[in-house]
Amino acid sequence: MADNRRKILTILLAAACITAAIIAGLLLSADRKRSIDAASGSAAVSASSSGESDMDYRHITYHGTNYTYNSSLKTILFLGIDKTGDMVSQDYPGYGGQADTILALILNQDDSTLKILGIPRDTMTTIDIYDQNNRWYASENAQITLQYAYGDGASRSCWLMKNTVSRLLLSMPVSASVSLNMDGLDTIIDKIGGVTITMPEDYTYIDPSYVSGASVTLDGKAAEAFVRYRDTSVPGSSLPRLDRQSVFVKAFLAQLKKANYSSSQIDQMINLAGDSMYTDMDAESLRSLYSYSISGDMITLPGEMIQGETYDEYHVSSDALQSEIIRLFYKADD
Amino acid sequence: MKSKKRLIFWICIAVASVCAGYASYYFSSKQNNEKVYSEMQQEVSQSIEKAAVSSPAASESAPAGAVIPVDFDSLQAQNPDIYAWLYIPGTEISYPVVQHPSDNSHYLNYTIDGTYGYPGSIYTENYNAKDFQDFNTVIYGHNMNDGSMFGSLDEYKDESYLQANSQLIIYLPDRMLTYRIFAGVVFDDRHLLLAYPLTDPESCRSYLDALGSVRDINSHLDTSVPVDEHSRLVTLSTCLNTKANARFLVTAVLTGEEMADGR
Repeated sequence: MADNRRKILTILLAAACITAAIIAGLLLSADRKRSIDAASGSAAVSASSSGESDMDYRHITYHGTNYTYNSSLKTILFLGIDKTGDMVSQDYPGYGGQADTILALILNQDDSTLKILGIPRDTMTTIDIYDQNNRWYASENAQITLQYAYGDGASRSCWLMKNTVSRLLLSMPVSASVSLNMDGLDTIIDKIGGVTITMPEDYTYIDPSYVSGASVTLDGKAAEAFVRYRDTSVPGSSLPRLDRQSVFVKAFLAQLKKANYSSSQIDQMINLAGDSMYTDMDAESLRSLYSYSISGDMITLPGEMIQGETYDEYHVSSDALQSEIIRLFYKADD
Repeated sequence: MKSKKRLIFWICIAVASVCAGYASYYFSSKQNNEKVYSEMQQEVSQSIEKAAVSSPAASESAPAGAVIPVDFDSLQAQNPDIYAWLYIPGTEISYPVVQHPSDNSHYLNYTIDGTYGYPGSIYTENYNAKDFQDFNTVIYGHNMNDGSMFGSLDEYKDESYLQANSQLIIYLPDRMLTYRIFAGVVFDDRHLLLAYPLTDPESCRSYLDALGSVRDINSHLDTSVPVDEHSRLVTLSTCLNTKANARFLVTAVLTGEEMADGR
């Protein structure tokens, strides 16, 4: 009995010693790590860099209040591509088309709500210019819609758009993307038997039957006209169209949800759309979008449409953007 | 069997006490090293307060020039490499600035009194002249956990803090330079003065462009402050504990230069 007790005592003491040693070690290494690669360029030792990811945006201070990034969020970029429509500039290399519809779908995986942030195609921001061999050539301030053209019209274009949108949104992570061009839209809408839209306002300039409040089922062609129509002679006409596009996307998601397509049916649709569609999500993750309910109206990136020399320019208001991003992506610390 | 256990037990004790000993040595030496600065700071801040009380009256009677609250003679007697004093009103930052004549990394690891280890010094490299006439004088310092040295620069990630604490002062033996802080930017860890050589006006321009093109929730640049390649800047550089291979830069532009009293 006494022997047993001694044993236990020994083990406890040893454990205590080891714990003490570990704590001392941790304290030291934490203190070291913080300051070791502090300062200089020439001599700085980047000792702590291995495998450390960028966590810089997670905890921030804004107007004296501490905020933490809402880690239950996931942002998916939805892109509507137009290959033939109103091009902003002639001197772009790709034939991949331009991203005419740019919607950031902000999914809250905690309460299954979805917010839509609309990014005007004419938003002026830093885009990356690549040469024909996909080598980075320069960065330039231009309409964000053009960024898509500096890729291949599929995975590379989407990757470029994800980076550029993330940078536009002050480095908020954008994890996935779906892009669809007009042909793909036609095909998919016809396949699911059309999209039923309750017109939130008067759209009779597109079709006389689109009066406010009317419930209309659009087939592929009508859907294309609905999301595409724009009077390019009117400056800033892409803004009301962006509103309409978000109305369409909402109705489209609702339709998919109602039909409750299986993963294999979604796969069939993706195959059917062929080159007209690209996504880095699998059918199962696309299907998981059904479980989200859209909260509120589309939020438009804060800014102002300005008539450029030849083309419209949408200038972001940086103060308003910052507070919008805090509102959308952060929670105040207790 | 029993003796084996006992041996393990004593080894554990030994390891733990060595660790604890080293830890306490490490922390106490760091604290000692930091004391060098707090003593200097106290003297300077007292003189700054005194100057603040006496100068308004003095300036009414005669344009007497700037009061230099730093006793450079006595500081340089301690270390001849001390050549300037950096002061940001409203913050913890009030430090002597050193430059080693040949070894640019020396003061990364050495305290102002020559002691090896943290917190090191607030220093420039010999790419910069010591008269703050360069387009951009880059001042380095460790981002210490306790907020000392450049540990409090993190606060400039909040734009409202930047606006509220935008004055930066450099004291030289013969003059006082006043700067306006206009940017707090998360940047990569490129060596600024090699990447943007001071001799080339175009590269000065591109440094400003590079600062302005950073888009990040923690980066701010006040575009209402006029700055161009003919400006004279001070850039404070420190590391970030939240991001590898990055530096946090606080950049200020010269707004006033006043010769010292009696010079």
